[in-house]
Amino acid sequence: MFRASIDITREVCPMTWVRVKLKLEELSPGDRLEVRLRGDEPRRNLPRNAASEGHRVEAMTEHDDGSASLVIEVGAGP
Amino acid sequence: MSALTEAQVQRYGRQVLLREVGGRGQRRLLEAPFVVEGTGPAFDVAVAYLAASGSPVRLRRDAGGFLDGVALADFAPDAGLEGPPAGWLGPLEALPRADAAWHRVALGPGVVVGLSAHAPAPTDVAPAEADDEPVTQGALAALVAQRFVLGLETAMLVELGARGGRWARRR
Repeated sequence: MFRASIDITREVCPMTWVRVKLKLEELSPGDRLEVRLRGDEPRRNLPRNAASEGHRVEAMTEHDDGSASLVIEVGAGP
Repeated sequence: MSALTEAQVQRYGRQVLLREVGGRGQRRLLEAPFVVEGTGPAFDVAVAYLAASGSPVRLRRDAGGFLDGVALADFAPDAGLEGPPAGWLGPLEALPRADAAWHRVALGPGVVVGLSAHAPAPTDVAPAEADDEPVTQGALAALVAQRFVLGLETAMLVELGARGGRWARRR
């Protein structure tokens, strides 16, 4: 299992999901992607978008600096 | 298939968001040249839609109307359309030389789109009807051509079958 990461704390919608989606496409089913994000929009939309395209949201961890880490297990696709 | 450049991500990001497109689909569109023949508004709209999606577009006519090579190059730089809009435009060197390498498809009155032979042969596609609005004809011509490039032709033909074999309009 490969584990990759991406930092989208400086991105705004819709580029937050664009960046994550492109990164997910580089990975194989079963791999994990850790997404460092900031703000309400990605907290709300990324888990929903990932699930709708066949991925599994594994965990969301809040950090002291106001950012959060979302771990997504890559699925087989929609 | 090379990765999208940062400029392409910025320009085509909203297309990447579409479930049917994504990054892989966008790269296919960027690498799938089209030859478009025709005249009139339907032709203009088809070329504009194809070029705006990032596909290299080769025009086969003396361009006129709202299509202008410079304007197209401005909003669709990856289409490779530059210079005076006359005759053949587009990245000629990037295209196969033999016309036999293209599937020629009449996708509507006044619009013929050439699809790369790498795409499935679209032999079952019915053209739009002459009484459809030209903008509808052109937009649907581009949509059908792009679906073949994206590998969505099977879903499209099933959908067409459910509508009585027409790929065209909704009333």
